[in-house]
Amino acid sequence: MDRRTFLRAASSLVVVGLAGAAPAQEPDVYRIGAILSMSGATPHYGTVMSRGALVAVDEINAAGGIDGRKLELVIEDHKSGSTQAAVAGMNRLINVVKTPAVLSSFSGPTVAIAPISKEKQVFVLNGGGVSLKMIGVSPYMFHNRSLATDLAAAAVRRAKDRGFKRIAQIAGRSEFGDSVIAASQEVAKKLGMEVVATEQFAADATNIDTQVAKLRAAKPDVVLNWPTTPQAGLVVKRVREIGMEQPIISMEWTNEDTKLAGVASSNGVEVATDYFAPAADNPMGQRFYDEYKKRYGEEPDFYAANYYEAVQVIATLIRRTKAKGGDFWTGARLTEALWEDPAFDSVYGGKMTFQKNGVALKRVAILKVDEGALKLERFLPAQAD
Amino acid sequence: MDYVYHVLVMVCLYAILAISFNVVIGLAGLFALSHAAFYAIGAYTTAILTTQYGVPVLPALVCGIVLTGVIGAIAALPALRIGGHYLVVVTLALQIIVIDVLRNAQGLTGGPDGISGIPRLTLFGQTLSTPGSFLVLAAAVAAFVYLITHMLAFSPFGRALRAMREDELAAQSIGKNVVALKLIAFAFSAASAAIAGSLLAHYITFVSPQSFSIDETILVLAMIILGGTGNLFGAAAGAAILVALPELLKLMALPVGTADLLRNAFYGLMLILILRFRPEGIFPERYRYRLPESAKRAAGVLEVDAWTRPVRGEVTLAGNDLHKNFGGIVAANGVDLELRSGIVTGLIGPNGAGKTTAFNLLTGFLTPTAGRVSMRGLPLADRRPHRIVRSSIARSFQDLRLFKRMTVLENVLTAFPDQLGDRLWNVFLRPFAVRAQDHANMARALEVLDFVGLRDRAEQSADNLSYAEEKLLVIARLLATDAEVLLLDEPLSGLDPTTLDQVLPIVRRLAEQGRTICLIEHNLDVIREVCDVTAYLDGGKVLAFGKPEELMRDPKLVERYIQ
Repeated sequence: MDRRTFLRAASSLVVVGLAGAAPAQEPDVYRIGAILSMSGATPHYGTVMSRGALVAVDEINAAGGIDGRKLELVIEDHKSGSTQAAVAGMNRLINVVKTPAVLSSFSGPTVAIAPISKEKQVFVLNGGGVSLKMIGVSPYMFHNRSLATDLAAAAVRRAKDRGFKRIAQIAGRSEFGDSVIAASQEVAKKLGMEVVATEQFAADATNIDTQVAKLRAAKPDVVLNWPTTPQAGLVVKRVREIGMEQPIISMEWTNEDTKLAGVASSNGVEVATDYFAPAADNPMGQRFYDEYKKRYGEEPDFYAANYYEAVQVIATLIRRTKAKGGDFWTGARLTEALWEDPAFDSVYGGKMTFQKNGVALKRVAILKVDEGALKLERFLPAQAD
Repeated sequence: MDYVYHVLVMVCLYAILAISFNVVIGLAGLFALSHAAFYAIGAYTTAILTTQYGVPVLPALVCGIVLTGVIGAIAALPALRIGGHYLVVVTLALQIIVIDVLRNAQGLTGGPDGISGIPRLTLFGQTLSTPGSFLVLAAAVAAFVYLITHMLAFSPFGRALRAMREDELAAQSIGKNVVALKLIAFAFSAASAAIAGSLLAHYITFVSPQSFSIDETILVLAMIILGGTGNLFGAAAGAAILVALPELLKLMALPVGTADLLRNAFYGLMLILILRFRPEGIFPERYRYRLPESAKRAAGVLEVDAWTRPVRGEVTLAGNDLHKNFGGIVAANGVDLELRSGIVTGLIGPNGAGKTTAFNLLTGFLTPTAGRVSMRGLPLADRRPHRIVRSSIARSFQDLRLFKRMTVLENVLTAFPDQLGDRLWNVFLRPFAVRAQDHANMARALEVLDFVGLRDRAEQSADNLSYAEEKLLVIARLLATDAEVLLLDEPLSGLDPTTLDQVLPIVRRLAEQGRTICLIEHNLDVIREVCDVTAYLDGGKVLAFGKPEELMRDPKLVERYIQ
């Protein structure tokens, strides 16, 4: 190939690209975009998220769609977190697919598409990323995955339910740790509990003995353990080694933590987290669980559930805006409709409510570590405080 | 439209990355895998300065570029001592370290969450907030990077880089400072990658470690290999193809869920097919470029005799009591050798006698364990080979070490001393002077080639030459260094009698001009014909020195060597 043929071929490719951007049409199908991790290092997330969303799309279509018009899911790949790929996908969804509603995943890609969401008024619903950086970056961006601060609040509520009064908490010294501590203090105050010790350690610390000794000196009823893996395990290990026998509630727990803390020390640690499981009092969750398991032969995790739920939210919003008439299939109208009534049916059971910061408050699971395995203890209702 | 513009912006950014990476990989032949790290440092520097320190965008951009250039030069330090697989490992480590720092230096880099809210660029009062407006800037910058890299690649500096890539020792032997070449190539490449990184930061307004993983380095490497190593247009084309292809593949309707994995498989298949049929890339390196007509017209006959030194027989290069041990092996055991102007000295001796070691000691390729090397009485201790060439001492190699993937003319051209364009700032600041001198040098190179009888091969690649022609080119390259002392390691072995008849007079003529010649040779007929004096080396020292006929009559030598 010489240079000229190459340039000719390249320019014809551009023309093909331009032709893809055809003029707008009235939606005979409601195309919902999704920017997921379909390839790269962690395609598993994209697989379960897209499956969850597809179960919802098919369920809604089987029931007649939205007044006879069907939903369609258009998936773009952010290759396990590439911001460039996410921006390309977002632009393509807006220009070529012409959708005003997009499901996003992973914190980085979600932050990266936020300026476009804001500028083009595109409704974005994220059910995967947890970074605080996604908060307040676009008025059209929402999240139906619990934030760390909400999980912390749930852990405090769990402590209250178990009758504890004196709380000690420990966290890493980071933006994350600071925000979690602030959130739990606020809830504890509201619930009339006393925070007797708050300790923080450097993000990469391996020796936290000073902090743990101070926790012991404060004689708390319960220890709230905010760090993520593997320091969640480290805290449990040192707390038990120093002779404290108080219950511990964590926010994250993995096999690595159990390995670090030891099986015996880990027993009984509670974890306040996102977790999906069907329940008799939750018909929507049961319906989703059955269909998902029938189709894919495996149980859905909370990621799949969140994207099922997200499509349901968007369908509800379309119904609301359509009832009002006008140019209803826009991000601005969907957002407006969300704020008119921010409570939606949750696949976890009950209602979830979008807070002012755009994050939905929903049921949080309390799991218990038992011989290294996590067992569901119970779900905390979304709005106890 | 924004979608197409966005894809084109990414083409421009990746073109900058691929072009700059090609300087290190394609031109300098240094297989480094840390390009995405430089891309990241550029992006993060401007992100941190603008969001945390309120530095205006333009100074932040400049800081990012300069800082990355400096880090690039530091990263080149290992490349000075190691090559090949080791350089790959070391640069891979740098790449991983940088990403680890970005992930863990929470306070500065925001950790895995990255840095958001990076201000957009403003140009002529207009904020570049849309892909369309940003594309104008991205395209202009990509064109600028292409232009300056093109200037570098086709300058004497770029030629020296390629010579180093082809053979590092040979490049040193003709006076190229490979340390400086490597440092500058790395710094230039890193700084250009930082340009792309800074643009990305202000375009997406968000940076996170995810965007700069080793996958990015490999993607850019794939662009170069696909487009053509050493070819800048090829690198840009490779970038265009690898950015646009996945987007075009989205036009294929595929089952949801597996679509992106299938597209990736198809993408991989296409790359394999392209490289199967174009193994050197779509645009192979263009080193066989045409000679300018002006240079051809300007070329006259080499004025060999214009060089003549008046004094004959004075000592020029001398080695006194040179010792060299490699562990327990003694390669030189007190070599004493004095070379004189206008005299052809032959070095003979059995294999392993220390002849080539003597050459390496005299030319700085080996540092003597003990002893002294001097040129006209001035010590040459601790000088690196390229500095020794500047003291007017040049050597050839037994295994020729030609710059194979360069033209015959370029092989000679690279060897001229004191080229303006060997210094990169001259390439950019005095382009016309560099060009004028280079054209004059081309004419001279043609004259040199004419002198050894290779003029009609000038525009051909050096790997197309016959063995005899290669030997002639070695002599031509040595002549081009304009050195006074010429050390030739077996320049005549393996030549047929016709070629010998061609070469021997050249050697004699150089000596007659007053140059100092020393040659290693096994063919005693040749020694007899061309040498004025001969040194017999054995066991790492000079055992006998005298006229060739005298040595050959010595019964002891006849017994040990000649028989």
